[in-house]
Amino acid sequence: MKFLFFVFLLTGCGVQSIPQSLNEVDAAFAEVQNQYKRRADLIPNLVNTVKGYASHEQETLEAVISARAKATQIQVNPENLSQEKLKALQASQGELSQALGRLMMVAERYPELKANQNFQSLQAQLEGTENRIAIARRRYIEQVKNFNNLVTVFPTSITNSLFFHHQKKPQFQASEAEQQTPTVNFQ
Amino acid sequence: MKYCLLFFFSFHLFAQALDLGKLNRPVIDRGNFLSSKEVSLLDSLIRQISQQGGPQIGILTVKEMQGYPIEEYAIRVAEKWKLGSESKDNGLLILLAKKEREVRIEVGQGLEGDITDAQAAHWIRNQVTPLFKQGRFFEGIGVILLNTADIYKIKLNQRSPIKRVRRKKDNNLLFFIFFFMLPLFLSRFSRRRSGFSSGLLYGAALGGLGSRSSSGSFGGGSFGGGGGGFSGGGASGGW
Repeated sequence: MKFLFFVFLLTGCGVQSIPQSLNEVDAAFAEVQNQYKRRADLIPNLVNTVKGYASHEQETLEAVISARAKATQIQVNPENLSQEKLKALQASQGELSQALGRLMMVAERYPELKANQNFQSLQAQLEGTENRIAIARRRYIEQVKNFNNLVTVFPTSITNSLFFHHQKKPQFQASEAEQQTPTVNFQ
Repeated sequence: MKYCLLFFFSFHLFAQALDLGKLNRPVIDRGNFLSSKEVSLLDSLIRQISQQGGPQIGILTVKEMQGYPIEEYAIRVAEKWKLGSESKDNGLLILLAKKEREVRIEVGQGLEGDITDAQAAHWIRNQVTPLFKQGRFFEGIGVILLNTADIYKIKLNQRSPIKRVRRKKDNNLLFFIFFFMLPLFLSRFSRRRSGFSSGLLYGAALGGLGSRSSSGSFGGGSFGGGGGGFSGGGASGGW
């Protein structure tokens, strides 16, 4: 009985909110990965379409293919996500973003390609996916911030050190590539 | 990609920086794109769509976006307004920015399968922005509503006139005014004044619109988001 009372007192102190927040972080990360995968799935089709019209842009096309291969190789498990792993994931996905950006820029030079229905559709899907990635990342960042606050800030930090022993979750950081002013322009 | 990066750096400043307004009616025309008649027509179309089980649509126009990419502006508004129901996530936001000359259709999570990014981009590229370029904002927005109604097999009373505009994509404005706007307002006007006598003339063309709109939801009906989620689906374009 005394124990129950004790637990009851703690409900405001993170006993519930820490595991809940952890679930939110996992869900948010799963969404990020989901959107990265969605983008990766678009690429073969996109590359093939561009190839049909701009076959001598071999270099740009191959850069996209190899960046995609690298990015899809990195498997990350949200349970034991470390800062290094997240950094590696982010770097490979960032590289893919850059390669894709160059490809879309090259595509601008081919009016027939730009007028192709299939290409237009793929371009819209790619833009939509980039947007979804940005939103999924933002939501992950917010959830991690919330979780990290719970496990490090009093009074919930006490509950964490008593019961859960969770570490802070790694956070996305703007990579060097991302800090450069973007030059890609979809028009 | 451009916006994806901008997004990342600016999101935390956003909430404080902008007053996104309150959603108390389906059409909020802060950018003054529409006349009050056009607002109430769109209002009526939107209510018809949601009453018949279609998505909950919100339209926001703004004067400018203060340097924010439209994708970010739209998701912020969508997150605040929570269009659509919580279980179905069937919200849809149409955002127009005057200074930037940009438009975005933001599609709720539950609608993404029916209104894909490619679909929304197709509407914007081929149907909406050509009309916007001519300054025909009402019709451009109307086309989005009709396309959405089509997808969900919703029958709208005023559909046929805009449908023609949409198909032909040329100067149908006169046709539009004569067969759609004028009868609509004449009939509303006359019904209010002298019952149904002169409204009969247009009754055949309009179906039950007059009676539907006078049932209360038109002017004063409450409107608010139901907790729908958005994950960034949709498309944008400029005119």
